[in-house]
Amino acid sequence: MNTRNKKWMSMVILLVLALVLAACGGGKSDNSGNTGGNAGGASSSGQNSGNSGGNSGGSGDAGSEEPQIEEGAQLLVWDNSDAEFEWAQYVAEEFTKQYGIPVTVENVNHTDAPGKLQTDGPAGLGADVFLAPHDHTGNMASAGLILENFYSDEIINEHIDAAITGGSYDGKLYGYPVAVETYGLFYNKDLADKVPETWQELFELAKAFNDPANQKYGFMYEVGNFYYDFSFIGGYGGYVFGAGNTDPNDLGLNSEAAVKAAQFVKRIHDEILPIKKEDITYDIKDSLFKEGKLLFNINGPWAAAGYRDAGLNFGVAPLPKLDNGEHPASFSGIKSYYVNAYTKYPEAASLYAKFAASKEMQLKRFEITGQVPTRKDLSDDPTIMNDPVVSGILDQAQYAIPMPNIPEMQTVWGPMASAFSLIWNENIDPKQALDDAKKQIEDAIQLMQ
Amino acid sequence: MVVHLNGKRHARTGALLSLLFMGLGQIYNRQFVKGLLYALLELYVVIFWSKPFAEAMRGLITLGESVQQRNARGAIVVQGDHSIILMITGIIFALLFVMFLAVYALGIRDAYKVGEARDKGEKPRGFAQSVLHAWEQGFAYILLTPAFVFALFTIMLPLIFGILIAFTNYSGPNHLPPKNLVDWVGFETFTSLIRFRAWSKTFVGVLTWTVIWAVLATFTTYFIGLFYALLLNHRVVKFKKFWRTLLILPWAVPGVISLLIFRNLFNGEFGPINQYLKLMGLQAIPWFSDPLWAKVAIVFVNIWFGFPYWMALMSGVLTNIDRELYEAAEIDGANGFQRFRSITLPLILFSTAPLLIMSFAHNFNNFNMIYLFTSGGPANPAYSYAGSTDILISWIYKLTLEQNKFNMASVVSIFIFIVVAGFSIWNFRRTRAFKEEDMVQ
Repeated sequence: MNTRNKKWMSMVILLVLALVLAACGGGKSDNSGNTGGNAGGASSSGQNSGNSGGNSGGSGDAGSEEPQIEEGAQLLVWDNSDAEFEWAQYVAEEFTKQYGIPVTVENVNHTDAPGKLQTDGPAGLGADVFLAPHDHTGNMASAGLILENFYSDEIINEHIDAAITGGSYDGKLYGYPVAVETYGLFYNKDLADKVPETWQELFELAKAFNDPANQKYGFMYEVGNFYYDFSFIGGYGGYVFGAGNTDPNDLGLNSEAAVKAAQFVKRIHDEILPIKKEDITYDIKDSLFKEGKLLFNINGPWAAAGYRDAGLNFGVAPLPKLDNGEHPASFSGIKSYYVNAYTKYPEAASLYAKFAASKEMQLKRFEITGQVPTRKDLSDDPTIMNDPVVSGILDQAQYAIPMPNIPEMQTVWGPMASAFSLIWNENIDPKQALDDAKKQIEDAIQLMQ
Repeated sequence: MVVHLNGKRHARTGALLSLLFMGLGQIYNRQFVKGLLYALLELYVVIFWSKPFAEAMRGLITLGESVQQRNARGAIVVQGDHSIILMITGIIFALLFVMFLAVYALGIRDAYKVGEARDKGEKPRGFAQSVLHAWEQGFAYILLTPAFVFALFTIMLPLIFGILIAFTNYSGPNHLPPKNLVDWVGFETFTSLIRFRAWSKTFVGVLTWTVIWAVLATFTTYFIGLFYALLLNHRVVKFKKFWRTLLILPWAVPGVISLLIFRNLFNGEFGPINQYLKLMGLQAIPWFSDPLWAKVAIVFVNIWFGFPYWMALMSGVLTNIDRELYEAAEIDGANGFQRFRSITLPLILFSTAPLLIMSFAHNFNNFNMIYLFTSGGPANPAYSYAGSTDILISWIYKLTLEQNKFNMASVVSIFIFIVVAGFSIWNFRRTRAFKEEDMVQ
């Protein structure tokens, strides 16, 4: 049984309508002939299966050979707006110069791209190559929306481990990493005498600065956003999923480490930040920091441009050490290019994605957007090391863990945010709150099967 | 030709023949062109459409059998069946089949009627006459047909599709077409909603608040709108137009923007509202962190958004009330309150009650208000994937868009549909405005 497309179905409706209404029929037999030819994807996938048959084991071989680029290929790319869009256009131009393949860049935000691809991909409307956050890798791979990385050996050698872990699912690499980001401790250089090495120091500095009557606060972070909350769990040695964040049946969210982290978060609330969770919004935290009413602020490199525009004299440092002597293990996000599984030009698209992850392009991305490269050969590049924001983030990145990218992670955010909110706001037993959250997540995962 | 004056021989035979094959009855009744057209229609449908129809039904029943195949690098080799498209195709063919059956039935009825006429000794109409007759007698139906067909495919089709989804396992990440096939699972999704205790507990809690919210939101805006309308229409109020323009503004400003501003205004620590409360020596109110206060804040902000609509509407109604009614009441010695109770209020209720029901349905599904203002917060330890102020629709959003649980969403929306539809029907039936009676008894 073959699939019939929608266009054809609407024609059927029209035809029958015409029949019912006017009791006369037009040419219809040529209609069914259309269906066969309409399955446009068939021809390109056939071609594709030919040149990939042999290299299932080591796709690296394909990288060294000259890939068979589809003739007449033209690519559509989705990337973020503003500076990133500028960079994407630069890459497109350079790629066209080098390979003679025309590329169009469209603005689809990388956080929206996976969702959009779900409908646009199978319909043949999706971009051939698109930017996405790595934590959607599992969802996209299990829904069959993305192609494997055709140059995995090459990419694995050239990029930092976190970028590879983040872009892999079920032992296969999918992503072509272009940037990595995590959060660090932003501090106001005009107000801070020193950068705290440990949380104990930070507590003391913050207490000295705190002046709630004048809305002055020593420290703030977005509580109840598990993206940030996790850093403490990670710092105490906890984890989300077992086996390197790949085993959904092993949830580490109510472990001893997690309870310790929750108690620590509660301590932050009690000692230096006695404000309800709902009242610490990103906007408020941001404006206080810009007004010089906030000393230390956990935030990511995306906020740097805004602070610079506000004329703020700020620096970025890694998160201070916990009382066990470890740095909090922040979540890191990897922005990667992915190749749409429904692309007509898989080889050309993969080549483009590889090209965007190359050394020159990543360096250019850093220059235009200030985002941290993932390539090993750029990690000690002097231009990057001299950037105060990036170097601070890079310091923290050593301790960072890529966000889990298995589909089950989507069930974790809500309940964990609730648990940390309750621990922060109410006098609820941390262990109890985390047990509840874990139960909810287990239920939801069971429902996913 | 022998004419049978008694009995219904022609009628029965015609109908039976038409039942056997479209058009036979007409031909038997000597309406050859019409009969031939009917016969051609059936022939056409049987020859060209029986196979697609059988395939579509098979698709609807199996939801696809061939799984998408991929090569080692993930590229698609065999497209495979797309369960959701198969399902939609199946529904379309089923609807078309129902339409075809309707035409079939009409043919039988026609053969019967013409046969009946022949039994009475009338001569059957010629083709041109038949067309003219149909045009004159069935003009209304002919005009309504396009609208009906349009409604069938734009209203019925999505509804049926949405309901059928509830009986499948269409959900992320393992049952998303076209890579994977979707299967019928019967009532499994319904039972799993009940089986997981945390979920059913969330459901009941969220539902309760949704109903309370919809009632509160509707009535507060309604009566405050009424209050302002009365105020504006009072004769001592000067600059009526100015006040009216001013008060309608909240309705004109895009809600998304105002809600974000309100979010900051109500901030428990830094928001101006609590700052003023503190200045006046009062306690700051935990607007967003206390479930009860969060609900109060939502209802309060909703009044700001909702009352201008009612105010504008009721002002219109008020100006249309016959002044003589008031004059007569005054002569009878009715005081202000009595005049309001016996003249103004019934007349306003009469003309706005239907809208009140619509407004209830709207508030029941008022996603923006909840999601943009509190995002469902504060957290509720007893709920799963919902906060204390989440209503059904925002809970569905969190459940599905963040997790692709389309089947679960469908189950909950079926429930929302039943509640809203039930409530609306019950109300519509009770509202006097819909009864064709004299408005003032």
